[in-house]
Amino acid sequence: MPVTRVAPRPRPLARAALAGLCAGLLALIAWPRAALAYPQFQLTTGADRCEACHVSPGGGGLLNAFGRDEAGSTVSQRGDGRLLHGLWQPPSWLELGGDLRGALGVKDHEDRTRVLGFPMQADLYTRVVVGAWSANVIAGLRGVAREPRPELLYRLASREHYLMYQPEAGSGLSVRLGRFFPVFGLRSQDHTAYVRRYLGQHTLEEPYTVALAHQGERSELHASLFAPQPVPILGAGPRAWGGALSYERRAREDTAAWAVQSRVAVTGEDVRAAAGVLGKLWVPTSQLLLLAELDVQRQSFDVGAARWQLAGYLGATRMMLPGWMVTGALQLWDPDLALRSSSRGAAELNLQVFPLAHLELHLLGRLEAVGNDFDHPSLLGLLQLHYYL
Amino acid sequence: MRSMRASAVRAPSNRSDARTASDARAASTAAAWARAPGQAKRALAALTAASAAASAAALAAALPAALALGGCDAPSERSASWAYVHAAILRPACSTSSCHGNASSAAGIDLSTPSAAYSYLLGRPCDAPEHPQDAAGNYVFPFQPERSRLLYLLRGNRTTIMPPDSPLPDSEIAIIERWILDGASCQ
Repeated sequence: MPVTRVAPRPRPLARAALAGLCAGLLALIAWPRAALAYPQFQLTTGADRCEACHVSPGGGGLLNAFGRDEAGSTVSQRGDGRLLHGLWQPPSWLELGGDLRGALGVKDHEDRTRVLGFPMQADLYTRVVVGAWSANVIAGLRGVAREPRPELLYRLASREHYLMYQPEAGSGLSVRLGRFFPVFGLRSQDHTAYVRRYLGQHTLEEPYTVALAHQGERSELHASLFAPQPVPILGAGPRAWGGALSYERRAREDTAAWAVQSRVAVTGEDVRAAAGVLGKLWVPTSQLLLLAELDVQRQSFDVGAARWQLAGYLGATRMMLPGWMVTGALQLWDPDLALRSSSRGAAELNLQVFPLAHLELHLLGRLEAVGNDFDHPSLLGLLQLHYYL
Repeated sequence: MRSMRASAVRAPSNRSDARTASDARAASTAAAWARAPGQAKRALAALTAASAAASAAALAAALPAALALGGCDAPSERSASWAYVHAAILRPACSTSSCHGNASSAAGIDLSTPSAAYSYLLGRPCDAPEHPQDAAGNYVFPFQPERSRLLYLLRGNRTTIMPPDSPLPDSEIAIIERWILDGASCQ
């Protein structure tokens, strides 16, 4: 059951707890470990692209057989990563999966501490393959972080449903048509990451898209056109028409990559045109993965005004596998570069533990300052329990 | 570390049947890399390393600079029209899937479109004529920011702050306040 309550002023305790958490995570980052592989991130292992482990050319969602194999044997400390831990295997034309997440959290802001507990995600993945075609569906319940919770029926949602055509195994080409996010940005699983949340990739903001992808030996290109959901209740976010383009190039023996990207979204209220760069660098000697994204967006309004916006992410992940991963990150979102004190910034630490195949514990600590108000940051501590089928 | 090159030259293991077409491409990539001249490899590696370092450095510099410097325009220099207030502030901050988007409409409030948001905030549709005997607005009292519940919510003043997960900066709240002070018109 979700619980939301407001308690007055246990702030010093919350701060002390968060300080302890941060110190602990910093210690983990600094603690040297034996070099081990981790296939979850592109470049850190032989998986040089998202498609190596995921069915989708853009990554995320259903894992393929190789992804399940790696998730079970390399990421986790023990266990079998196959569906239902290998107890039953579906026929070759059918692939199944799912993600279940629950969260417990503490938010402290302006002398108030809120305790949150909520189901975050309950999605089932289905893929039916017929020759070069496949039908892919993600269906489940959308998470609700606060009361009042709508009835179960109104929480049913399908984030993705699309047809995919892959003309020939190994050709690197694919075409998708249906509901999914155009490939853009780092595509973190954290929907609250600024580069996702404020650039059109927040929860259930998937538009209806037609996308062409080409995966070359050292590069990949994704071109997408998108339209809003035909029925508004299917999702959230602005009802936009537009397109996105992303080109990524890998080098240095697939331990580094850079990408350029652009996206235009047009609604009845505004036009948002974004351009950005990505950088990824894997340093095997220290088992560090550096990730960076910087996007500039111009939002022009029907009323004639316009503003420039900036979104940035800079993160470092220390791989301590099997079983452990620590990420520190800085984030920035400025909705109006020319407007005084409008930006927000965050510093966060993530500890992810994979004790068994299919199981993940994710502890997040985040400090966020809004409007350059560094004297009164908000503090978030969130523990997620994640199980994938 | 199981690198791509390593996976390409190792003898097939009992997990090899799980490998996908992308593995074949990975092996091909590794083979192509192995055939490339050393000078080209070094140049490409240097170029990529420089690119990655430059983008990381640019971002590392941009983040604190943008945080520290910010803009210099005052909120009074921004449009206080409803079209701007909704598209620039309320829609991105409030109309999310689990809050006041169309699908969830938390607390029965849908702020996803300008017309819906205006109706919920003021208690009457945008094109409805004003009448002296109309009931007071739901969350906004035109010309009276001090009576407008919306501002108390946005500031967390004696109530739960909105949006609870990412409160608005004061500069954006000031633009909303000016819209109310100017009469909260939907034009």
